[in-house]
This record gives sequence, C-alpha cells and structure tokens, in this order.
Amino acid sequence: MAYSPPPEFATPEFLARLQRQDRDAIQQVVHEFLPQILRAARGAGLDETEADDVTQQTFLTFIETLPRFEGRSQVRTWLFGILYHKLREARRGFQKQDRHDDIDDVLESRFDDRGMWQAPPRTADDDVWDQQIRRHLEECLETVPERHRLAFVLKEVEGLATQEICNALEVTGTNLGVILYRARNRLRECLEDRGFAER
Amino acid sequence: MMKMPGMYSCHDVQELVTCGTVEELGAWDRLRFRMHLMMCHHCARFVRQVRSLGDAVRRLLGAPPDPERVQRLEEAVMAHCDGPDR
Ligand SMILES: [Zn+2]
Repeated sequence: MAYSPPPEFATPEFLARLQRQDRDAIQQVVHEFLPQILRAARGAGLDETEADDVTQQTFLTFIETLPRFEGRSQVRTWLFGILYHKLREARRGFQKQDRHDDIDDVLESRFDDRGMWQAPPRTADDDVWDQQIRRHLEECLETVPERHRLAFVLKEVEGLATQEICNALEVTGTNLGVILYRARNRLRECLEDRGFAER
Repeated sequence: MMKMPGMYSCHDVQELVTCGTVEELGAWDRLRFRMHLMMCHHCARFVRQVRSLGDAVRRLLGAPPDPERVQRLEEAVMAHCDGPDR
C-alpha cells in the first residue's frame, strides 16, 4: 500500500525540465499522477463530470505554474495542493472553517487525567462490520464535511504522509489531527446509527 | 493500564493513531507503541477499529479509475500543452 513516486521525479535534472515546461517531463507527471488526482477528486465527493473537470483544471494550472515550482515540496504534494484550491473554487464546503480546537480537547473526553480510557470502545461482531458496511459507508461519507473528507481520503486511500497532507491543505499537524479525528468520528457515529457497532 | 516512564499512555496512543502518524514512527517508538497494544486491549481494539475503517474506505474508493477515462483526460491535458499558445 505504501506508494512512492518514481525516484527520478525528485532529481534536480527532472526539476529543471519541469521548470522549463519540458513536454516529456510533463507527460511523465501527468501519466503518473492523473489517476490519483482523479480518484481523490471522486473520493472527496465530486460526481464524475465534476471530477473530470477539476482534474483537468488541476493539471492545466500545474503546467502553467511550473516555472514557479521550486521543488521545495514533492511534485505530488504540489499537485494535491492545486487540487485542493480547485476544490475550494468548485465547492464552498472545501473552504477552511475549522475552529482552532486543540487535539487534547478533542481527545480528552475519552480519557481520565492519567491518560487512561474512560469509556472504552464497545465490542460487536466482526463479520457484520465488514460485510454490509459498503453501502452504508458510502452514504456516511456524504455526511462528512468535504474538507475533512478530502483529508481523510488523502490519508487512508492515497496514502499521503501527514506532512504532505498538511502542505497540500495548508494546515498544521495538530489541525490535521483534529480534522482526521472528526472525520473518523463522524463516520463512526453515522455507522453506529445504522447499527454497525464498533468491534 | 498504568503509565510507566518511557511508555506510551492510552492518550499518546490514540493521538498517534488519530493523527495518522503511527506509520511515521521510528523503530524505538514503534516498539513502544506495539508494547502498549500488547498490554492494553482497549487501545488494541481502538487501533483495530481505525484500521478496519481505513480498510473499508480503501475497498470502497481505492479502485483505480477507468483506464479509458484516464487516457482521455491525459490526452486533453497534453493537447493543451501542445496548444498554439505555447
Ligand atoms: Zn491503552
């Protein structure tokens, strides 16, 4: 599951080719990352037409801004950052609206003051959890705020490192922790409401 | 479970899992993480829940997109690259 981009993408030679908008270099990047960008756009909740459009827009902006790409972040992070901006333009739901919660405040309720579990997660049957979850999960994902959903998808489906997501979504590590916590919690609650108890 | 020096508390474990930084731990911290899970079934279950949710979401959304659609989009992007304005 650990995906790593082709190593040559990180070389100074490749960076220089990208900066001068070398066609072959661009094509390599497009070929490598377009499926991921498209899948992430779908995963973030866009329909097929919207996802196609946002994906194209992401790469067109990528190509246009290449002369300014300094290689401080990975190509993939840069692309996901552009995707995020395009999503924000397309849908209000992707705009920043997080309150600045502290991760400790979010986690606190589950623990006593020694850091021990106060309300341990409940148990349920393993099989039920897995078999029927699919349809409900799809519907429950719809209830997760779009920006949180995007962060969750980048983490769980695209396997981006925490720092890459922070860079792409312009959040701190702590904020990302809170966002991921909220996304998972929302999903968990929604699934619980539909009779999928935690196992 | 008692908090001992050098060991992770339940709170530490949940923060690591929640923030998704477990995969990025060094060897020693990974060992500390595993030791905690071996001794604390609450956290072990919490980790299982988070992972099974992740697995389920990957199964739901992780399939590669339709290759024809990908190719069509790639061509559209590259056509722009070759456009008369470039
Ligand atoms: Zn514990």
